[in-house]
Amino acid sequence: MTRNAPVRTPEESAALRRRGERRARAALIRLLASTSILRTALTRIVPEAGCSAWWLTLLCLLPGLAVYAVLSLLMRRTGTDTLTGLLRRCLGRGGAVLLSVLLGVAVLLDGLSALTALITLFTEGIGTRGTQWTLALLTGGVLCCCLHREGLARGAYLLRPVLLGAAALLAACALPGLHADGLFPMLGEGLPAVKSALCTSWSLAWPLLLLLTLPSEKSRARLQDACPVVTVATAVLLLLALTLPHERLTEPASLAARLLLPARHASNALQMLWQCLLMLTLFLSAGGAARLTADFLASPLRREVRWLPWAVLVALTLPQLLPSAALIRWLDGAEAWLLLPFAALAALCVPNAVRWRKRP
Amino acid sequence: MQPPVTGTLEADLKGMDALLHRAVNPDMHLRRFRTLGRDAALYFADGLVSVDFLQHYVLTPLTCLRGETAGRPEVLLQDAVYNADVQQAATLGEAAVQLMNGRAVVFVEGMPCALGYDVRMFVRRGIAPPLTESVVLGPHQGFNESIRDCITLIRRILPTPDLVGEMRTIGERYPTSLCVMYLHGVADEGLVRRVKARLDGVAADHVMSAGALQQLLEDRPFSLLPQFVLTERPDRAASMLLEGQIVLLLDGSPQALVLPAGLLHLLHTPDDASARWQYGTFMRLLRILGMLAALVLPGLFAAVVTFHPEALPVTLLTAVLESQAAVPFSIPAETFLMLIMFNLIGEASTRVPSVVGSTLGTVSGLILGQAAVEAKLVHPLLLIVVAVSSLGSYAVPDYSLGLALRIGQLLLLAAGCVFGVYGIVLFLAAGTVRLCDLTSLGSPFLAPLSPLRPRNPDLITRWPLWLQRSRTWLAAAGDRARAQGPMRRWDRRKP
Repeated sequence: MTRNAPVRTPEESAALRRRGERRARAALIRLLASTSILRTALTRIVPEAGCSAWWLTLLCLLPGLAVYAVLSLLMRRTGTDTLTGLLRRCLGRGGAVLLSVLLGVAVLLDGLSALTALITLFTEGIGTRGTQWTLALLTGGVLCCCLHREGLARGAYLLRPVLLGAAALLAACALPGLHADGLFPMLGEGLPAVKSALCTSWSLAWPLLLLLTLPSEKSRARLQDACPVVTVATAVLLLLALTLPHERLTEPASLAARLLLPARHASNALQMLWQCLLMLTLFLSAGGAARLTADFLASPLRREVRWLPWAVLVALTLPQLLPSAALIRWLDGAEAWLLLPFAALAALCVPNAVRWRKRP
Repeated sequence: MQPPVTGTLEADLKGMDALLHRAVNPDMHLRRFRTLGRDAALYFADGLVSVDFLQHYVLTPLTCLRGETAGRPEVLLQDAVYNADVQQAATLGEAAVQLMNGRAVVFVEGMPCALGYDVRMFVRRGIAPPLTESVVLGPHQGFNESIRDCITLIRRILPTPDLVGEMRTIGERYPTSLCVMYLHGVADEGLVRRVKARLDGVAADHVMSAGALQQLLEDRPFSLLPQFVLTERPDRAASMLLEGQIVLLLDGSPQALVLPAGLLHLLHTPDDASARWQYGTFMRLLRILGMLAALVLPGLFAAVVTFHPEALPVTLLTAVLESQAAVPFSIPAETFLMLIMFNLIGEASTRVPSVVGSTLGTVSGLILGQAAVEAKLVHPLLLIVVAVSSLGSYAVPDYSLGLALRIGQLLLLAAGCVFGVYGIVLFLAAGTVRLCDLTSLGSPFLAPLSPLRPRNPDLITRWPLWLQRSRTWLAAAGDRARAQGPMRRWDRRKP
């Protein structure tokens, strides 16, 4: 802060307001993306690859990042500010509607996974009283209170320093116990396991595409937008590899036990902190997914559909009536292909974007 | 529709008598006399007017006008009396309202309107220190129940014609005077319009107090948290006017309603600005800590001891378990009972006459607490936890926010007792999201924390005054500068 801090003009103030709303929205998407990537990495890559999960996760992020980069380049070339704008310019209104539906379905699936993980954490990891269905009803009920307008995005923005602070505290406590042997063997369980992990998780980075639905704060800042998500995910997995031996990471365990792995080395109090952190992020992630799904599905209609968020919430809660193991298996299968439609859309856009010329 | 003043004296007086229920309302006085050679009558309400003033400056000059004079009587009577404020009433209803506002209302044969002379003299409380917002540094004047005094107190702090005080009434059947105050140019015009539109939309028959008005104007009336600031300090109201906020003063209410407001405004006190910036920042952080302790501490204690004892250090856990063995209640029940007891003490000490206040403090704080521990009804540790959390809720300067915290404390305790720390986290997450969604007159309640808003360095912490060169985002965009150039112009040192 300088002694003579500048007084803002009305235009600057309005721009700052817009930036505030945009940052809140971006915070929610980053939270959703980080949670999704970490959850997938912990439950699908780590059991297959053990200590090599950290670089394998980076590898699995590459296809998504490539699609992200291609779409960003196309947006810059066509002078559009958002992904929807790009699709509208390249494929017409139908393209934009298709994108909205695809994003809505993808985010809904992600929210379903987050809610299932949260409830599994309740029933198996923490041992809270209540069945899967009653806990789903309880969580759905609490989520009901949070679905109004901008609250979730602003809440994610507000809680961001708290979440990062708690994660940093956990990391700082893990530092004295780090040992580099954790990084070896570099190939983990061997090449077949690496291939298998790659096959099931190549879509890992698809949530990053959600960042492209927001107007960019600065031109050429798209890559910076995605950096925090990638950094957080890689850092957590690297710490995990450096703190726990390979055998502990690959031993068979339930979904809840896998989610709790990053704090296995820590004291009881820190384990509790990780559980709280995990629960908070999964809760916000499920709520954020419900909100975003409703927004994406309503965007082609160009008006607010008041009942849609509640319908989405019901769609998130009802599948919890199914046995959790079957639900998780089904979701894993579906999530493995989530990047594919977006890659196809990017491919469809390329010829149009290349041909596109700015009108004089 | 109100009947008009006809100019036929007997008919008008009959109508007024009926309107004022004079047959059963002995404090509505009627005095007949002659003026300008015509029959006339004067109404006044006992206790609302200065009888001396009425006799000397209204009745005497009027009765002295004996001869008939050409011209309109209402003009002649206005000129004849040396009164600063004379208002005409075209209907009997308007005349009755003027009467109830402390005017003497005159009817004259052949005059097609009534004249209301300002002879007000209400019984009112003097200017005293505020009861609920004590400060160590800063002025010790508080508002009283007279709207005129409240306006004067603010005008004395901000002696500028830019300070607008628009008078209006609120309450459809039994109206009360209301003043909408704002600094012209500094307050955002859109906000002022929005406030007036909401005031126009209040359809209550009567608005008793500023607190009641708050409930009628808030964006989310079902929310636990107050969305406007209620203050009884003129200096606080003035400082908020300088930030572009709008102040509503209601006759009969010793509090001003400031809107819009955010959570951080509810945590400010005038002490912060009077004290050096380091002290101000320290006190604010302490208050935030108190607020968090008040909200979370009892629930967290019950949850950790009941569900996650492994998270406690061994020595502490041993002490808790040893003392728990001698106590007949479970930790959640014990915590709940203690919180209820502390809230009961708080409520009793608010209502109790001040002369026995110290006795109540001694009995409740010392004897009850000590006796409960000695009788092995509560943990000593729990007593400390509940005492600290109660102190935290009292450290919050806003009374309504303190009450909201105490209710939230009980809800968090329930969540912690059922689902442990996870219940608390879930509750806090949902609460935070709800809080972020809250608005005060359309402005985000948690701004500038979330979402980001242009701000000055006097919201979360209290940075030095000379750095506070810009008003907050609530002020009109065109007038955000508090000073042109550096505030410490004499200081030639390089920044």
